[in-house]
Amino acid sequence: MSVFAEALGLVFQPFVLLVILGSAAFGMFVGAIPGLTATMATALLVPITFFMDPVPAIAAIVTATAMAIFAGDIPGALLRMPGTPASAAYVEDAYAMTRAGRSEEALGAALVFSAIGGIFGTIVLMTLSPVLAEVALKFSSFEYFWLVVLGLSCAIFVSPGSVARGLIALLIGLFAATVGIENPAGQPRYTFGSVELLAGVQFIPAMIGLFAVSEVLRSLVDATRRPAIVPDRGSGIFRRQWANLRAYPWQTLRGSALGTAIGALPGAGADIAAWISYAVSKRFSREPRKFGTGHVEGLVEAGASNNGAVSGAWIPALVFGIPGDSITAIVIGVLYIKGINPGPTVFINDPQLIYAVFVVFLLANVIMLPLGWVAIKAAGTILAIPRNVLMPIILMFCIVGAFAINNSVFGVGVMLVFGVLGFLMDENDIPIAPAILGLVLGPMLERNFITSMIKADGSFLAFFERPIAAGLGLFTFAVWCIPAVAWAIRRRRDA
Amino acid sequence: MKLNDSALGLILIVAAIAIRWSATGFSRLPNQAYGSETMPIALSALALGLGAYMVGQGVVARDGLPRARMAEWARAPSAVARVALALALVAGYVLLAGRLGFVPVSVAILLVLMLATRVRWWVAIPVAAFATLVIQQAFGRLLLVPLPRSDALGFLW
Repeated sequence: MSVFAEALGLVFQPFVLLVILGSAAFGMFVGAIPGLTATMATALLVPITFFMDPVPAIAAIVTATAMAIFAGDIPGALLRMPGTPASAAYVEDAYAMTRAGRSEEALGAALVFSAIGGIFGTIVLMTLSPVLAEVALKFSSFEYFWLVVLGLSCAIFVSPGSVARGLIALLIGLFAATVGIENPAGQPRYTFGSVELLAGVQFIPAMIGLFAVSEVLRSLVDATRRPAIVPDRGSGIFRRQWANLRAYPWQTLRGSALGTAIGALPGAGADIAAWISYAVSKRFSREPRKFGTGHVEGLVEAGASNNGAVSGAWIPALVFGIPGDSITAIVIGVLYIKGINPGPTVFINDPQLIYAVFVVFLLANVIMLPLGWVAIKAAGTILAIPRNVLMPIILMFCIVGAFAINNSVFGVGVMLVFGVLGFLMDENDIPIAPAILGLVLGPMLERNFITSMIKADGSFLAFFERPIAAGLGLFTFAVWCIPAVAWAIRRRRDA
Repeated sequence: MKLNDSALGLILIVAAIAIRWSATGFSRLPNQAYGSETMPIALSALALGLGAYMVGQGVVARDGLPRARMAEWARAPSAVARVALALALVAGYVLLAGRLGFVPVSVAILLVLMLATRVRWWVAIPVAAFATLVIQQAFGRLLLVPLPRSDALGFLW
């Protein structure tokens, strides 16, 4: 019997399928609640997997993760409260579609193109893992520095409003990221004697505050001032997706490929991938002005990129045993417990198990479609609830979500501070999303910049000496310069 | 409070000076030119440049708008009171949940906020109780989040 057939036999067992179904429902539930993350879903599943064989154990984690990442789009689209930093990249478009009575179409696009991105990433994982892992391992601090700068630049240029206000948001996020002891000299910064602040500003409570609490506060200002939530006008979850796929085939492919490639870089992940893909989509779109107003194109590309990156993160994890993010780090631990040592030898010693993991990946992305349909339909009932009843309940979910991150009311305090900050930012047309990305990527930016400067002995030229770093650096400069050049050309033409 | 470009620019400049001053207290890595101070210094430089640009933009634009003006909603005392109430309720959770337990504090927050937004009391009371029960069961029992317990309602866990 071939290895692949053996792997299929391992997966298509009633118990494994039941585990996949159960963990999918669990992942969907956790991901749909603002503040609860895919990492938390994974961590909660680990004790249960102790009692399982390797294949159902990995199946449970892989399925719950894929579901939780997609489910993060649900509160984003319905309430403008993205479940993950990656979802924040396209939350304005998704929410604008909901306000136009097209919530099912928006969530359907997120669902279908997430599944496509995930399947694409899995196929790459099955066929090109060793090659991609080799490239990923060539990334040093110089390349990571440019990648982070590129991600942050994209966040500013795709934000609605002026570049200056986008930069203010980014500065707020980067400054918040300097709080704590995680810096090159390990010295407490801006902690004011607080033990909790030594660990830095936790980004989940901050994200709940900036997006969700500020939205609750805005709804309290005056129900008539904010646009009412419009129930879906029968746009359909799957009805428009075939047309979207035919309209945006190149965008789907580009998002999936870029997401998988960025996801394969240890430590980069879906957050940067979704933002870069959204920016690329806007840059090469025929209708860039429609972005942020309920245009599905960016959602298609960034959604595919998001889940492509989730699959891509498994490439270094399985090929070299190097975790790309916190989820793959947990899974590597589970694999070790089960007697499977991730790394090159796993393909020789336990090929049927690795192929079984690949099959589970495919299955998880396929099963996401019917389960996602059920979740979207169930979540759609939220829109029928009067806003003055819904918002207090959401505030309570936010409080509990912020508390659950460290089981401490300190998280609730962080959420409150960032909630007020988000409210004031919105009042002054300062976009919120770049602040979140600054907070998430700030430590990575600082670490890679200082490591690079020490390695280069203070020479900025070293940032362009390695080919990949030079390419990324020049591309970043192009992203900075293109809007200025376009503005100058437009001005000359108008004059 | 709505601020124009000049006012935002001035705030940025003040913030830049404060960050730069605070960075003098941070140290470098041994025998290196970089350390904990590098990032705050870089951010203060960026904030200073951006602040100067925005002040300049505000001067050039001369839009006639005041540097700071109250948002329209802030002129309605009821709207300000509702926002302040929501913030006070969250702060109240931080202070009281540990002593009184999750369930009574959650019911109180939901009830007060719904009544403040003109939900009828006969709707608000059952919704507050049911939503609290759902959240407590989902987080406290299913996801094993150690929500603060109250002695009288310990049977819910």
